Amino acid sequence: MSGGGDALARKVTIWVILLSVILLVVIIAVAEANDDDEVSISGGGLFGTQGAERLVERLNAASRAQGVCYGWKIDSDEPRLRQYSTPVRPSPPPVTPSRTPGVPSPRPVPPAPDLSVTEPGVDVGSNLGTGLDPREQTAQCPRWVVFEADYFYSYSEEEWTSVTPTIETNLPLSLSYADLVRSGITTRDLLGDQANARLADAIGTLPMLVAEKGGARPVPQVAAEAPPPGDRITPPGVARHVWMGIGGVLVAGGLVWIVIAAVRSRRSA
Amino acid sequence: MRHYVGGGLLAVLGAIVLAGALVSGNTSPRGWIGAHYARAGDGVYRAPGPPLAVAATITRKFKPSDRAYDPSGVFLRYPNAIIAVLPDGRGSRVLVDDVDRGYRRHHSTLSGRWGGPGGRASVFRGGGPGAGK
Repeated sequence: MSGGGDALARKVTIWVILLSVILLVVIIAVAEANDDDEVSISGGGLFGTQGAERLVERLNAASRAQGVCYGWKIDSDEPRLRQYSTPVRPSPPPVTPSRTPGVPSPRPVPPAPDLSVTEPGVDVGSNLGTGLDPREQTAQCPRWVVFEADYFYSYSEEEWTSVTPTIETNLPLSLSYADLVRSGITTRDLLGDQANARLADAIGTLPMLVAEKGGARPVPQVAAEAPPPGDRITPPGVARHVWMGIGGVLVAGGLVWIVIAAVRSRRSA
Repeated sequence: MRHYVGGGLLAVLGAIVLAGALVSGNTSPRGWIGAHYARAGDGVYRAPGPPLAVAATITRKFKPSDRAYDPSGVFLRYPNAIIAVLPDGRGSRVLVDDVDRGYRRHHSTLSGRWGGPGGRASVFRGGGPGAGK
C-alpha cells in the first residue's frame, strides 16, 4: 500500500494543484470582467455629467413637490478634482418655492447666475443645477436643505481616511448625520468602494427626511415607463458562481481521491 | 487510511464552500416581509413605519447586494428580488418583485443605476472620494 499509496498521493496532489491554478486563472479573468462594469466617470465632478443630471432632475422633482430647495457641497480634499465640463441644469426649470410648506408656486425661476466656478476640490450642486448652492440663491430658495461632506485625504497613507457628513437647513426641523445613520448611510459607506453612489443616496434621502419630520409632503413616485428594447438590469455578481465552482471542484477532488485510494487498496490486497 | 481521511477532508471542505455559496445567494427578505407586514395585494405590503426606517430594518435583517435612495423611496436589490419601500400615508408601501419585474416597474428610477442599454449601468458606478478603501 505504501509505495502505490505515495504515488497516488503525489498524483492527487498534482491534480489538486493543477485545478487550483485553473481556478485562480478563472477568478482573475472574472475579476477583470467585473472591472469592465465599472464605468469611468465622464464630464468631470464627483458624479460625472450623467450622475449629476440624475441628481439635479430628482432634486428638482422633489423641490417642485415640496417647495424646498435641496443641494450638496462635498469637499473632496482633492484639489485635482475636475469641475463639471458643462454645467448641468434641470428641465423643466425649477419653480419659486412658496414660503408656505408643501405649496410650491408655479412661477418659473429666472435662470440662476452661473457660479459654477467653485473652490478647487469642492463639488457643489442643487435642484437648480451644478455649481449652484441654494443657500446663495435666496430669491429662488427661501427654504433649503443641504448635505455637506468634508473628506480628509492622507498623503502619507495615499487614501481618504475620514469624512464628516452634516445636514444644514433653515427649516424649523432638526436634521443631522444621525438621521442618515438611522437610514442606513454611515461614514463607512461614504469611504467605501461605491462612495459616489452612497453620496448620491445621502443627497437623495433629504426630501424623505424632511417629509418624515413633517416639513413637507412626500415626493410622489415617478410615473412608470416601460424600458426601451435592450434596456435591462445588470446581471448579478459572478462571485457566487465562482465560489460554487470552487466548492464543486473540491468535493469532486475529494471523492476522486477516495475512489482512487479504494481501488488501489483493493488491487494491492 | 490517510488517503480516505485526506479525501474526506477535501470533500467536506468543498461541501462547506458550496453550501455557503448556495445559502448566501438565496438571501431574500420575501418571507420575512410577508410574515411581518400586512399584505395589501400581490407582492404589496403595508408597513407601519416611514420608508427610511422600514428600509433600514429590512437592510439590517437581510443585507442587499445594492441599494438606491431616491427622494420618492428606497430600493433594495437582492439576488432574486427587488424591494421598493415607498411612502404611503403615515407608513410605507413595500413592493416585492422578482428582479426583472422590479426593474421594469421602477425603470424610471433605476434605469442607468442598476441597468441600462445592454444591461450596463452608467451612473454612480464606483469612484468618488474615499473609493478603494
